[in-house]
Amino acid sequence: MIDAVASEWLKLRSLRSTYHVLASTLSALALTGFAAFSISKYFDTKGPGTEPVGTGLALGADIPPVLFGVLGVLAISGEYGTGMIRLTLTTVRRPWIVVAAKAVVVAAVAAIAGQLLAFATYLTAQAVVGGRPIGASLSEPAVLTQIPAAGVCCAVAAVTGLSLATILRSTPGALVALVALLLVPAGVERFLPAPWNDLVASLTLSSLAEQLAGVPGSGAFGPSTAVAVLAVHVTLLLLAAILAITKRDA
Amino acid sequence: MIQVIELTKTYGATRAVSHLTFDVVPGQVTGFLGHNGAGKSTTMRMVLGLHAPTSGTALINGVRRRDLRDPMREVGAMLDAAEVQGGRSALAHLQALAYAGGIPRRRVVQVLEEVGLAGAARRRIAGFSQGMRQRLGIAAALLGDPGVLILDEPVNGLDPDGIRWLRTLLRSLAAEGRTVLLSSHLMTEMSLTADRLVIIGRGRLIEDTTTAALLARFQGEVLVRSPHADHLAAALEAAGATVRRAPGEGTPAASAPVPGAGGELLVTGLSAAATGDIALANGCAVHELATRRPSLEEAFMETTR
Repeated sequence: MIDAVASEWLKLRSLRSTYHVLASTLSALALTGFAAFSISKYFDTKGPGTEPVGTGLALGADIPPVLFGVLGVLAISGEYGTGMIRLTLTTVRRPWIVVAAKAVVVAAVAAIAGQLLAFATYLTAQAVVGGRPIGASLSEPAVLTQIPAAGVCCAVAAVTGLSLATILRSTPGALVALVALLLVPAGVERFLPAPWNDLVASLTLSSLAEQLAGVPGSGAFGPSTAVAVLAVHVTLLLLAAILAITKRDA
Repeated sequence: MIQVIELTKTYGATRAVSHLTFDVVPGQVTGFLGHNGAGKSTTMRMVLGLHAPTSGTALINGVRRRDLRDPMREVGAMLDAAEVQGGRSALAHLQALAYAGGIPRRRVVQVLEEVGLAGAARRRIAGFSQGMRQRLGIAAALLGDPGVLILDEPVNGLDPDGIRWLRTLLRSLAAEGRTVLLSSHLMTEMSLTADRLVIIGRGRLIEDTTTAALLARFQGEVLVRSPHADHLAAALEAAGATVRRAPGEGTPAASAPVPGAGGELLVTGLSAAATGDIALANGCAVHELATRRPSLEEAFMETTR
């Protein structure tokens, strides 16, 4: 298994697309900066009473899960697209090892990069807010939990993308499924009656990140329920992916 | 050692491979011949555990692929040299495969040199010619220094020098006691490389024989026309040849003998020169003496019809 992880780590870092995707996550910083800037301007004209920027993590929260999901998709869909998956499968004893090793690698990369991104997002938001009383200080308890929680959700998104691509064996198919899974609930939620709207909204990955950090009023679940929801989500998808790669002819 | 036992694979209503049974023994190069779509790749994928057989078994060194302890060191495979991600360098590609099998880095350098890609190791595979990709595929198969090699159409895309190189390489690998199975749809090429031939058509076994035996069967015939056909036939048979009466027998109208032309004999097992010498020694006049040799491709087409 360690051998397979080493192999997948080299595969991930020897493709340019990995760097392109990681670079594109910086777009979350631009969006956060822009949103924080608008809110600050609004605060300057209207004064207190406006929605605060807070940590700033909520402003561009939908972007990182999608992009780290794409990282997960590309980790295996390229191998299906070229047929290299067959060669890969000849190097391991069992097909599930390939999925598990890729999951470890993309989850680790997404967790670390996701946290760095969350921290950079926080700093960007605070820099834009400047001295206005609508930011959040690092000494506030929720701030220090929100950054690791964002990292966890990026890792979950990466494993989600990987699993979808393993099941669908196609880059476009997996990308569509990924976006649908991550973004559709947020759109559907508005048209649902209570309490379903809250429940669906609470199940989106960006919302689960906040619930995981215990941000007040962020959703229907507490941190421990959020952990359970994420764990079930990852387990089900990985099991489906492993079943798919094991049972199907390569 | 590869054993294919009653292997069958159906895709929906299509039967790609049907009750295929043959052994691939160590120490020899075995050619796996068949037209496109005959079931060669499907068979190889089943041997490698990539496709599940509908029924039957394929064994590598006595066990199924899934039961091999250290797969890369026991069996090396090249399925389709085009099936690589072009964004990586040759070195990164092979190193990633080597990591998966716990194979040391020096072996990666070694196989790159062995296939003649050492100079291109750091170039992206996307810029490789088909022949270079083929060499890269062979390098990947050799990484684990395996005792069993399975190569699907390894000759495709190689230039004449490359083909000669590959032939020498495969022969030396077999001479070391390894089991070498390579598929092809080119009979002539295969007859030069392989010691044994397994020929399949529409998923069924057609021939499982040595190359020498197959060549002997299709070595061609000597046609000899002599007014003393009966006498000559007896003399040739006495010399160990197999003699048939000319094909005209069934269609007398078509081969109505020209007056004085004598009978036609088809001789196998003797060269034209030897046939002529025997005719002279026995005082038989010869009116025509020619070698009729079907090409190996014709023989192949014949056997797989």
